[in-house]
Amino acid sequence: MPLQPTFPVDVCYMVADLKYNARQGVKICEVQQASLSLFNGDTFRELAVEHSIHKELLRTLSLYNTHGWVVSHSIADKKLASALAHSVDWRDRKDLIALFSDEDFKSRAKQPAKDIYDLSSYQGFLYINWSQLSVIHDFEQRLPGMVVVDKSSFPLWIDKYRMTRLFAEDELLSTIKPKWGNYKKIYTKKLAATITNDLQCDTFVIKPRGQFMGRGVIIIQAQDLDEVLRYIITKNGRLADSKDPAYAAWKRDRFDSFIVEEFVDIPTDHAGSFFVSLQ
Amino acid sequence: MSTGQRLPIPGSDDGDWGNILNGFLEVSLNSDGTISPGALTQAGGVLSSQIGQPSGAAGLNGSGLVPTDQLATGTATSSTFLSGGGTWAVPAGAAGPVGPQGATGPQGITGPEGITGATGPQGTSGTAGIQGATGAGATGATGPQGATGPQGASGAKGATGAGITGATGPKGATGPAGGATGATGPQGASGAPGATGVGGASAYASYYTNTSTTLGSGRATMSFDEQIFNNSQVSISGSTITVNQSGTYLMSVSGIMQTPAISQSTSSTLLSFNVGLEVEQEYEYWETESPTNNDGYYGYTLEWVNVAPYPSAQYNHWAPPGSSGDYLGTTISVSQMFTVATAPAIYTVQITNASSTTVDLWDQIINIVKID
Repeated sequence: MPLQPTFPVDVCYMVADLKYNARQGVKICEVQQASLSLFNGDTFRELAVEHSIHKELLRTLSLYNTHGWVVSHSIADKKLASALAHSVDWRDRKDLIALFSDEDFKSRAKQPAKDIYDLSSYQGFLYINWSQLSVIHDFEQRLPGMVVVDKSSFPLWIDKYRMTRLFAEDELLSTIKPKWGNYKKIYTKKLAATITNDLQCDTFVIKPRGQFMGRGVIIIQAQDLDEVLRYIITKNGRLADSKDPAYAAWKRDRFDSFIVEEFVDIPTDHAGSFFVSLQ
Repeated sequence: MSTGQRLPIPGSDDGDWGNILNGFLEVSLNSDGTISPGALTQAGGVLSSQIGQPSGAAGLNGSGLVPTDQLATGTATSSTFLSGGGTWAVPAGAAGPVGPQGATGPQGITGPEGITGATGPQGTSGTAGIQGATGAGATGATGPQGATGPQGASGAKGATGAGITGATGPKGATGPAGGATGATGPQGASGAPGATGVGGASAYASYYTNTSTTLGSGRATMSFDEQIFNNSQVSISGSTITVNQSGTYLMSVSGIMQTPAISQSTSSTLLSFNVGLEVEQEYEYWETESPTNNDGYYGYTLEWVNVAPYPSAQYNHWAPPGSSGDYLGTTISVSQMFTVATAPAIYTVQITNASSTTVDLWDQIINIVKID
């Protein structure tokens, strides 16, 4: 007897930053919404277009519902938006204004799904990033006919701390996350020692909570940790003059805390990309 | 049959009776006294050479029985019996129960077209296609034609389905051969929903200003001087945005903020501003504010009120280190949803410059679309 579904349909398209070495095994350093990421690994493998990760996404979604709208200006990877937009049953609308100027979208989006547990009973998918859609604060009531991709992950939007906490809430997941900590932006001369003691490692990865595509990520040895902490917290010091984007990004960081993570080394002969079916 | 021979007659035939007797005997006897085969045959006897031969006689085996190969063709076995047809054959058993009906054979060659059957019931209407919206000042595009309905099951040629959106009804299969009138075809399945329409943009308004505006410190009103497109119930004149129809709207404002020839310390905030929407509302004055006749009531006037959330966007843009002397700029892109309960309503877009210097605002564009 099939299980009675508990939750309405939900589709999230996420990417994970995986690292592996023989000593620590597989570690998941980060998970975030794919709409914020650029995909290059599959093209490095010289896969045929129809085997690209973008096409795989479209193929997988089409198993359940072939229709969709993508708000292309809100998707970081233009090839991803393009792959969806080139499907005959998907529509590409550049922004919210264009989306809501589409009478067909407005009409269909208002039609409630006949079965909220069945993806095929919706009018289609809506793929848009939360920074744009958040303006429509009542989108769940206003767009009942749409499966809004990533909806359940919107509360974790652009906050690596909240996303990382997901790992701590599960016993198994916590074992595949590198050791990490979230630290308030209050500089003290003991902070570096505290972090070193917490994470028990020699090399650290410092991440701002609200940046993506690698911005603001600093990999640092233990002996340099104090200087970097002083800069990212006070925005003063020698590093304030650095033109390195990894340092400049901290000037725009609006969060009151930051993440420090144990650095997971990757042997050079394991560097590269791999591709896993989405289905 | 007479042979013309006779026996001699006693008392007569003197001198010739021997010849007469020999002629008589030679009719049925050979010269050696054996019976002539011809005489035996004529007398209805059977020659040994005729036993077991066609038109001959059956012989008997050692058991006094006629051999089976002389009774019938074929081979006699313990399971064969002599049939009236002259063969040894296995007799047919009693008829068994009727077996299950065999599978339907392959479809025969299409016969000549039968007489047109009765018109089948009308197919279920296809899902209506989305009607195209009115275009810019012109009649909206025709809604898309529904997809062709699936072919109906075999039967006479059914009537064409009539989907609401024009979907073609199911076509009946060719009638049976022989030209007999086919049965009425089954009702075709419903046509598939019409394909997604391509037309129909909602009414919206789009305006811009292609000159720069210098913003000093504090709050200012953005102005949009040139119409790009407008087929909506929203009109924009400079900074005044008038919404003439109740409903929910989505507004987006974009532009470029730029400050010239920066010269600052590396950690200074050079561009800091926010953008929001305000609406004109009636405000009730009460006697305590402007007493007149002690009736506790004074009247109405108008005031500008921020539309929540205000501001709808906040920008802080730092100059990169070592960029002294360069221009520092950033783009803005602000969206906000707002609802007009009672039309008309008048709005403005507010921008507040909190930077440490004057800032030039370039190429501001506003788009407003009614979403509900």
